[in-house]
Amino acid sequence: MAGIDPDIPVRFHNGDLEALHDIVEHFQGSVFGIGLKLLGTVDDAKDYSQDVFVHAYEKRHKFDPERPFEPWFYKLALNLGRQRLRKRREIPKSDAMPVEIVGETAEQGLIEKEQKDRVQSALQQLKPKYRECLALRFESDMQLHEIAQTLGLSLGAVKTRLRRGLMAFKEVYVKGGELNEVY
Amino acid sequence: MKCTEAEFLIAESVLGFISVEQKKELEEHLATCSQCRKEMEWYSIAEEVLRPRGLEQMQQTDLADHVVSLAGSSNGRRFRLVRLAGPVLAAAAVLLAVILSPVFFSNDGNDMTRLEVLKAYAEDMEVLGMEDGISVSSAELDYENYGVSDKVSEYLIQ
Repeated sequence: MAGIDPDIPVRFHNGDLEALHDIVEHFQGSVFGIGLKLLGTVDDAKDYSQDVFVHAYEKRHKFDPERPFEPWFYKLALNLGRQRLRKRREIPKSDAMPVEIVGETAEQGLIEKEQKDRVQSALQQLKPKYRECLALRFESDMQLHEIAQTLGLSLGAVKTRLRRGLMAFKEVYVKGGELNEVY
Repeated sequence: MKCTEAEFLIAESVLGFISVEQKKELEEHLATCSQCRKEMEWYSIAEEVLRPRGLEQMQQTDLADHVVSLAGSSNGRRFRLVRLAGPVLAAAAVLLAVILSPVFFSNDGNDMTRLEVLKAYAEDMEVLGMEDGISVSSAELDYENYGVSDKVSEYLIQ
């Protein structure tokens, strides 16, 4: 995905609704993906996506147009995700995994759905600090130093969280499939 | 190279953090260790499924228009709310203080501390012989009992 036109964040900061429109179009895929990884359901991720963009527009005065847009934007998105997780007391809903499949054959759809359910289920077992790090790494276009800036961590700490998150995800996803039946 | 070091490098390799020298060392180890080759395969699968795929199918086509309409309408409403918020909150705080004052100044015999309440519960459970049941049920929910190794359990929600 190509970077956003540098003019857009400046217009967004000044309250231009067309710039907001462009920002939604550019970032909606990654915000939805982060929402899905953090919260685990398509409905929550859609709801979250909408809130992120509206909230970003309300807080646009806090964005410094002299600085890169992505770290500010993703930090705001993560904070909103953390708020939602806190409200939920970090207990994912037991029926929290439905992922909609569109435009595929029934058999392919079922196989893919099962795999996506397992991915979401495994992610929900991870502590949020590892989950959000993986979400940023895999869903945003940011480089590692930008992820570090977004999370307020050192580069080394980001790498450690990513490695631990991936280790834990691999263990739960590959080896611990039966955990899903317990929770 | 020990397998624990190899697993560290496998994770780093899949995430793209590994140096050329480390990659060479890892490849030499993988050539002689089938268990680590299996680990490499599992890590690659884990990395593959975490990549965004097909999410564009789930995007809301009208999200941008919807957000713009919400953001546009919230501007005026928010301004009016901010102007009213101060006096309304002050009045609510005074009212709440008046209503809650009897709660803070009365003592209806409920003067057990939180610790005393917990101790009382613990004594009740001891009397009822439920201690063993509690430890057994928490042991059953350990991640290790479901095939997840001890080394990653600290990274998971307990």
